[in-house]
Amino acid sequence: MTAAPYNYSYIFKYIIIGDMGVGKSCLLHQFTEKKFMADCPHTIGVEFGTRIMEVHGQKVKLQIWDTAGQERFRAVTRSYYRGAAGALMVYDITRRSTYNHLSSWLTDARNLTNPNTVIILIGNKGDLEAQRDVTYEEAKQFADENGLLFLEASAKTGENVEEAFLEAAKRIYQNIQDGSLDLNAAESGVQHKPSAPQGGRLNADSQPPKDGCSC
Amino acid sequence: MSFFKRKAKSKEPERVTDAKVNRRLGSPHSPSPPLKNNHAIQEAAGPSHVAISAISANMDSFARGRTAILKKQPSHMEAAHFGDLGHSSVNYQPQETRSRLSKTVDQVLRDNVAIPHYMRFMERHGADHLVRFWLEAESFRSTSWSWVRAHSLNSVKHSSLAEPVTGSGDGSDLPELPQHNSHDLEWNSAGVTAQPEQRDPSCTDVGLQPGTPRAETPSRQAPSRTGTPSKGQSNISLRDLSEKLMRSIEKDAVTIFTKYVSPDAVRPIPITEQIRNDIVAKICGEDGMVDPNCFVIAQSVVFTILEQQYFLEFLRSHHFCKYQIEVLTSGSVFLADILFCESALFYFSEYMEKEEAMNVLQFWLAADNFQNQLAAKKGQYDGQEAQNDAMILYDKYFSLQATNPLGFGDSVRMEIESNICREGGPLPECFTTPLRQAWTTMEKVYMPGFLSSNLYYKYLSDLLNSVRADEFVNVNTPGQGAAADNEQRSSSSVSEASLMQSGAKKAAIKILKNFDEAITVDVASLDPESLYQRPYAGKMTFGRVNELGQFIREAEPEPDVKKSKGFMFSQAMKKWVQGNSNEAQEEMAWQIAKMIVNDVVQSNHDSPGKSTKL
Repeated sequence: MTAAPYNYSYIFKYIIIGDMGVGKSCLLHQFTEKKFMADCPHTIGVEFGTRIMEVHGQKVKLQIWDTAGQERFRAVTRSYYRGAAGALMVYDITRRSTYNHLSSWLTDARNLTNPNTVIILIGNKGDLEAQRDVTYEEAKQFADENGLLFLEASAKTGENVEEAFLEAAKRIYQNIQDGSLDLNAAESGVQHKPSAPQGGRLNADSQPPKDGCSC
Repeated sequence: MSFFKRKAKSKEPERVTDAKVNRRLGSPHSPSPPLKNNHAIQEAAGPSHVAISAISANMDSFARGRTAILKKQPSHMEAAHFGDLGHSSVNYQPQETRSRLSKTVDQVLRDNVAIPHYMRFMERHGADHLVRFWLEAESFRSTSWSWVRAHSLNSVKHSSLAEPVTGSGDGSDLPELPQHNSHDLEWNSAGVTAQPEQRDPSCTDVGLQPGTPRAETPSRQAPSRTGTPSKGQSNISLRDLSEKLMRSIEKDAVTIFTKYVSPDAVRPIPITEQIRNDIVAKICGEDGMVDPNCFVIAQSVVFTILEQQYFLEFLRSHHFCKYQIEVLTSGSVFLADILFCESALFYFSEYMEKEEAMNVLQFWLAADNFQNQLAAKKGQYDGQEAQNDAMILYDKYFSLQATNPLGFGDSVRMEIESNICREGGPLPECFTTPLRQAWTTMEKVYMPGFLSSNLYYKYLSDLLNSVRADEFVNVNTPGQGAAADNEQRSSSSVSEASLMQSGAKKAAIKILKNFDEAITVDVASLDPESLYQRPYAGKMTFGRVNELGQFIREAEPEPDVKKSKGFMFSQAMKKWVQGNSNEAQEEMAWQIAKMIVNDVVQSNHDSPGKSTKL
């Protein structure tokens, strides 16, 4: 389960984008609460969720910004794209229109995020196989052509939900290790937290206790 | 009257949503509990009722101070809007709605703090002439319009008397202009050497013709001014001054044209021949008047180039990071600077989560987004759709069965209920009261802590690292090298100071350790001496009496004990221990004896010479 609140080494900022009704908030809820939320109201503007997971032996805290998919909120939610280290672009495999709009979402993501942002394509509602409207191969090809990671998931059953977030986090961590992602840049969407058990309340580094006298 | 009219539904709402709303509308003031759990996001630490109670208490306590806070806001807003000529949006909140850390091209070009950083960035890309042109043309346009306005209002006399002919526009109308002009002068001196002015032939012809005959007019009529001035003379002199102003405007326009627009300019701006001809036509109009908007089209073209080709890169450059550091370390950082800047919000949201107050920030973000998208439609929105959105926020934060209750009072909740269920749909400002309270809570309760938190220093550190990393890459430019040296010098001095402090601590520790060791050595060195002491060895006498009468023993106290050699070790120990105790007792006895002897000596003061023998 979730580790102690301050026991992590990195914070990655994620955004979730995609058409309305594809299951962005349900994906977030399934990831943070491990429960499916049926009949959830649509997102107003932006919402926020966090969870700590382990990536290559490092504790990473994901700060996930869930944006509204309605067209009327698109102008205001664009302002949260900047500075994201990872982006989950979600479509509904049972509704082809949500897949057809991916190019527009991808253009927004490319224009408004850093070049190093890791974008993963998520085909949600994988449990509704009988109503499938977009084949895996077709979406996989779209992802490969645009340099995206790709997974099909189901927010209802929880299948591949954790893997989706983890896959993007692994890629981000790899970019940090090979230097292509500037860890210290304020706009990278990544915070590096050297181990500090006291958390963020101290104004200065706590001084190490003095060595006692040898007597 | 209502500002907003209800528009016919362009979309058919979804059936499920419609059914929900119908059920809710049945009893608007007592919403039924939701059949299933609403969308709820729990913080990592989980909601804390103590924190929520504290928030409620703080809200109640700050409610009384709200008027004072609102009075403080206008001055801040005025300062923020200084020089924002194009600001025309209607504020549904009293708070500032922009962050100085998030900029658009328009905002950068009107911010005197940001312009130097942007100029340096554009100089590096060899396109600073575009920014210079835009700034000078904007200054020219504002100045010209102020003069034209003054002239048209028949106030030529006052304006001409108030300011010199070559002066800039009125300070009251355009307070930004003096600083702009100072920037222009600074850049002109630093920029490319301007070639000598050359007027276009057609423009010169037009300019010279009316000037020649009018040059003689003032000298001819000057003597008659001493008497009573007639109306005719007054009109002629005023007309003459206005002509001078117009010629000054024309001169400025020609200067800008020669520097930036002309094909012969050192670095012309990239505009088409048609636009250039249009500018020439407007400068050299048939009536001899210069159109103040002669550069507007060219400005628009240059603005587009700045925005599309350079600005995004500027936002990712270390120049922008320097500007952000300048704002964040100015000592006057406002909540608006944080909430409307994505990178700062990244750190602030982390801080709010640690303070278990993410609900307040979440509500403010969602409600602010709701109001913004509704206000952007300027009254032409679907009231039913807006009501659905508002009900989602209400059910989540305000309802008696809210999934994320914020602790607002009943009065606020009832106000929101009436705002949402208004005929024709909610207005964009239906959440203004709780938004203001949430804002005040974040500003008064959490902002000071954030500004002194580790996360804030981490944010500044990240910005500094961005600057340093970028400058390392671009170290070849000599102009930037000086600035880089300054930055590195200051940062290295800071690091040196910290190193010296740590060194001092280590030295202190070493000294302490040495002191401890010295003490130990001293203690150890004392032991061998006592082990080798033999106070009763040597002389053959048993003792002697010193001058004060004290008997000092100089022989073994128990010589007969030496016969039994089997107890030599125990004898040594006894001697040692008894020696110490004997010495102590003798010391005490000696002290008493000394006192007695002193008394005797004082009483026998009359016969000091005699020496008594026992």
